[in-house]
Amino acid sequence: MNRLNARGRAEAPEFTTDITRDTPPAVGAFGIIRGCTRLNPWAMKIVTGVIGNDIHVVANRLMDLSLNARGYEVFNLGVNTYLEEFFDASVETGADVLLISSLNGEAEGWSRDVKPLKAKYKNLDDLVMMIGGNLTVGSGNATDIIPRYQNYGFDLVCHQVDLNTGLDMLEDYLREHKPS
Amino acid sequence: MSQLQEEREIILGNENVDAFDFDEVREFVKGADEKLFISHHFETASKMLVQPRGGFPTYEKQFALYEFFVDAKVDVLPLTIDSNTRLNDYTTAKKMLRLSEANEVDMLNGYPLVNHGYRSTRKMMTHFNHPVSLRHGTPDARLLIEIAIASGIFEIEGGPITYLLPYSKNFPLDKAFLYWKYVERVCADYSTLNKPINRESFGPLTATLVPPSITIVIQLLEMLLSLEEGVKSFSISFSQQGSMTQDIVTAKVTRDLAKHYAAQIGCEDAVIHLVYHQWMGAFPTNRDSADQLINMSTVIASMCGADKIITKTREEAVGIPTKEANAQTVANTQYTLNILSGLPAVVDEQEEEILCAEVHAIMEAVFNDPADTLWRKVFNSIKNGIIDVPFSPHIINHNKMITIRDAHKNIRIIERGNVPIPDHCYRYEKSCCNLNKDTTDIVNDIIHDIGIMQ
Repeated sequence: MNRLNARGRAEAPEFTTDITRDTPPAVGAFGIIRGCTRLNPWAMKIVTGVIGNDIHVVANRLMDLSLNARGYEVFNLGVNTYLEEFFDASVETGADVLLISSLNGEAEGWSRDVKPLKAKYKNLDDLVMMIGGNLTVGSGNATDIIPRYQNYGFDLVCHQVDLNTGLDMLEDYLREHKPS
Repeated sequence: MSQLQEEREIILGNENVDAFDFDEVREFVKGADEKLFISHHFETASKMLVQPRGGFPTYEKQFALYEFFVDAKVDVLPLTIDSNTRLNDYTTAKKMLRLSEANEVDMLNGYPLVNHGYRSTRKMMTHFNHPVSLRHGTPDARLLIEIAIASGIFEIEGGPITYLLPYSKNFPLDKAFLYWKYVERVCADYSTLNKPINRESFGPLTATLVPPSITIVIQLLEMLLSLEEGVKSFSISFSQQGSMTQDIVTAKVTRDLAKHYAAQIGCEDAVIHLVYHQWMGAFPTNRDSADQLINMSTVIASMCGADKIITKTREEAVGIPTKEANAQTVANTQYTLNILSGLPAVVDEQEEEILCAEVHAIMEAVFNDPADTLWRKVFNSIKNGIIDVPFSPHIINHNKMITIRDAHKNIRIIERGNVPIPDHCYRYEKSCCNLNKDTTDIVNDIIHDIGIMQ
């Protein structure tokens, strides 16, 4: 059910097999047993959400679907999420990855607080930190933006990178830095 | 003194309200010209009413906008409220209004009605003597609608579900139900004095792949919540979905079932209208393409037999439209309506049957909730996912339903979550789509399906 192929991606979902089922399925349409963890080396816990006063929900929902399909155990905090909430949730769930997204560009303002705030939490040293979306207000280019965010404390920075490319980058990073 | 009147006095005792005179307002509504009531126009008009959107911070700019609209032969004027007022932050709205007045720069995305007050706003409304529709998005609209009706605005848009699930992450839904109960009661009370105040629900919801069954269920429930408090004139609405057939079927089923469910609670005497929103999703940035899309929406609204159409502008993708662009859409839409004739009657019985069965099944599940009042049944149904709105940002929403478009751009449910879509309907919905793809492809399809008009 939850096998991943060589690229770490879930096998084709079983859309066509549950036609005769009467009750709502325990298995999502995307072939993932929800709440089931570590069935494979990449079944890691990931906390995600949109930072600040940002209500762009569409990409957040698609991210949730895609992460689930790739076999992560997803804790989605949704839109309008503050930095403390991200770190609290990471501690609470014992997350391996924190993936913050931003569409309206206000991530920059929040990101300055990442390092001092993260230092207040005792056990977040191994947390992989990723940020993606529109990372600046107005125009800017990735070569300036990426090092700036790395300085703020992010391991992976995706500025205007499409969803699946970004998630592939995360998988490559995890394979390299967090071998099971 | 009734409990409602006690609550009203507390609400209107707000420091931003300058001495609300209950008796004077009652007299005003009683003697108001029938032309101010949209319910009167619905009764007498032989054409679809055209209503744009629009709100500016200052009195002068709002007045100028209305002049443009009236020149363009508008049927219904809008009053769109700024976002601070929507969140009951009248202090910030006041500050931004002062800045807008002083600097000729708009610091608000709408008209801060509470700060302007009803005495001056009424002058504008009675000057133009057109029906005005209040467009806001406010979960707690108690003060706002009091000031609106006192100003001569006799159509109130919104509802506890439709103004919350698309707009808010964590405003408590149970509170919204109670705040809107107040709105319904005040509207019902004023409706006994003259022509009825019209209430309108906001059918577009998130305008992102919402299937018609969910739209219709929420429209029907907000209608019932309104009628049970005594409202006599109600508009159900939905927005262009992407497939002409699906729109026509949705309109037919919505009308039929609205009548059916209104009769079930003994409210046959209420008049129900159908409102169509031109495309509410992501708009093309190319202004000429936007004009074509808007024109097509008008044709579909006619095919649906809508009583009112709410327009967009060619500047939708760019920002808040200018009054010129806004008035141009009104004129164009009136022109299209004027030349459209001999429309064919399109009927798709199979689609109607499937949609009807889905709506009935969800409504039945809501009514079967053990709670004692309708609003609590609806509240519980949203909480446990019997009603699930795709792409709602609200924490109470279940987010288990997944929808995509089929080859004809109809919105189809491929994962029903906890929504009690009957099995034969669910099989049909899925059979319309090619689902032999991996998740990455499905997610890409969803992204494509959201942006079909761009």
